[in-house]
Amino acid sequence: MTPNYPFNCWYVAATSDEVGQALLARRLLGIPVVLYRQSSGDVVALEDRCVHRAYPLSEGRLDGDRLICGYHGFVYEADGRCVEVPSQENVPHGACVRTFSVHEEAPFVWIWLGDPGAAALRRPPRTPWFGDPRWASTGDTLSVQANYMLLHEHYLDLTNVFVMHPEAVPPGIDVLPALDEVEVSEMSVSYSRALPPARLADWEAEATGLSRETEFARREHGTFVSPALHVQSYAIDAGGGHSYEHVRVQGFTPESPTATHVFLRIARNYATDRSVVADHLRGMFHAMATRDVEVLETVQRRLAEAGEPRRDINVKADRAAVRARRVAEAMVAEEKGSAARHGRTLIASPSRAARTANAQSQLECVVRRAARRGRGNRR
Amino acid sequence: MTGAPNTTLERPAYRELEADLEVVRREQAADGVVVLTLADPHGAELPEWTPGAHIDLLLSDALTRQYSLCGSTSDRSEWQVGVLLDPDSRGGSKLVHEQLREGSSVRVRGPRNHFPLAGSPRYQFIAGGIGITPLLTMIEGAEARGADWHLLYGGRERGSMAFLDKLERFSERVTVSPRDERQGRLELESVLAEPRDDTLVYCCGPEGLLGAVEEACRPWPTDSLRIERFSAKDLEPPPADALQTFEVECQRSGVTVTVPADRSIYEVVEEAGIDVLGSCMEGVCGTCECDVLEGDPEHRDSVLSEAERTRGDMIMICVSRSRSERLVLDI
Repeated sequence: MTPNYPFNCWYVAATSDEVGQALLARRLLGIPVVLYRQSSGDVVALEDRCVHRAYPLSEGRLDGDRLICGYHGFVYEADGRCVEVPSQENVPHGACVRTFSVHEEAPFVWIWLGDPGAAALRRPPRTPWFGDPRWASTGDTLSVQANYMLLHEHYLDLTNVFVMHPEAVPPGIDVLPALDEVEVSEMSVSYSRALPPARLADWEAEATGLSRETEFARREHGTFVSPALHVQSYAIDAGGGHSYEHVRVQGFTPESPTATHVFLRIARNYATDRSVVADHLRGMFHAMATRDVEVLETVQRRLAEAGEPRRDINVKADRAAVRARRVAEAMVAEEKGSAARHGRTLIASPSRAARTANAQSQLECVVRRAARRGRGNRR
Repeated sequence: MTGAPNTTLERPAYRELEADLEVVRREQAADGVVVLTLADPHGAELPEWTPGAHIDLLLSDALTRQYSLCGSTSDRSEWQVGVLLDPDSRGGSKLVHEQLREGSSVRVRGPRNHFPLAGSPRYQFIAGGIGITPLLTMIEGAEARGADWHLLYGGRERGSMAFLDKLERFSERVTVSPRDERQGRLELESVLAEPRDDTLVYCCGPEGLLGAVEEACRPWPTDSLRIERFSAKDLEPPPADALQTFEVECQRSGVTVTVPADRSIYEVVEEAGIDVLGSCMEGVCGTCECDVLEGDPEHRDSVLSEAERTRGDMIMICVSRSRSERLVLDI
């Protein structure tokens, strides 16, 4: 399967607490990346490959802000330049590894792996629940052996909860009401639905401490913010303008066409200082995510089996997902340089950015002058 | 199958994002051209968009006009539109010029993009007058991606051509060609004479210019030319010219059927034993999509984009119909 994800998009590379003064290796959009934090606190992302013999730099070590390859000891500055080769006096002219733009907004470290210059034209999506004293959050990171769009589609259609997570559904609700509205813009898709008043499910009662005897209305709102981010809010209306709101923020970052890093955060606007509530929510959402992952990985394995390509049958509940798929497909098609066409499959050929990235990888600086000279001939 | 033909949705399957924005700046960009900067009155972030996108300004119940976004895609707090006062205005640009002041509120819908900037190593941009607006954002995109690009920008006279100041720093890539400084027509042959397979041509401007560019690009590789028409930007109710009854030829199956007014294509072909897939029967899920080989579909679904509708090579047969007597489908 070839990549069906756009490169010109900010993706979550890691959570802030994962990146420190140790080297973190992670494959993102098929590209091996090494991340670390400089003494200034700024995060650096480099291609995880020495210019000399392609050994992963993440196998080496840090000396201050410099990275030393664990094979022949080549030394790199944080900007990717090779500044020292132990076995000879001079450094190969212009040798440097590719660097990637990084933007940290805790708890996420965002990375740009597409056309380098285009990073400045986009901003990572805002995640205002984090760093706001009215909210507290918890979460974890998962690795899922499934295409990232399977995750988006899964979370954009929650009608699976009755089958997969019946214990999470408020008692007395047997079917999810139809989506009230699917709201679209050029790049985003969101839906909302209202649930009729019902008593609390166990997890809701334990988390909120609200009465199990009272019926509460709930509002659910989900957004495909970009191919990299899904945000879903679930608010229990306690009356008097007060609601107990949960926001499930999920960064979906393709590792490859058949594997995805999931950066899951659950934010809540109540009991912000109570770790027992945080632990309860983390446990509950982790258990749900684990079951979701099992299903999605099984689907991915079935999709990978040989056979005639076939078309999906969609239903009305998929309409947000259908739209989101089209947004991602259009982004991929635009990168490829073709007019967007609604595909029957999720398959697209490697983007120009990907090809450029490969071509540029290790010799970027070495060939810079030659490229400039030959610009007119470059295709 | 229980789906009623020609289902009318109680509410649309999708609703575009709408917001009341405030005019935070109003600048005179050229003779007859104002640039309005719009922002959320509470400082909320605006939806993301890409070069070539446009928004609707809902000026009154009966008056909706579309304008290309011409600011920077990197700015999530503000949108900019450039509006030319059209002397033949049916109300849109006149109302914008006369009534939208700094501090005014205006209802906005979108953004959406029917004129997306596809990746390419080289671009030739051609603008006529106010057609510069979508191309400005494309130039920013092309520049950022490190593409090789050129702009040929025609207009009445320098004083009427907006954004010349913004283009100044690209003087090597930009040819400004006001009519009162040249002999005859815009020098299209100078940039389009030799077809190139490494170049996409993007053009926006008045009908006369678009026609000339289309003509000049005839020898170019298919799909090299991407245009946006002003005229398409006026929202008119779609002509009610779908036929009551029409014929559908199912080419792969060798069957031809007649679709009457009270039944859907899906129902009729399925009854004729053709193997088709269908699910929602409301034109929202995309399952029943078929390729159109001949004929002119009347699209009633909410799946296909405007560009796909215009191309006319696919159809959602659960709700859509035909403008031509005969529709040939690849089923």
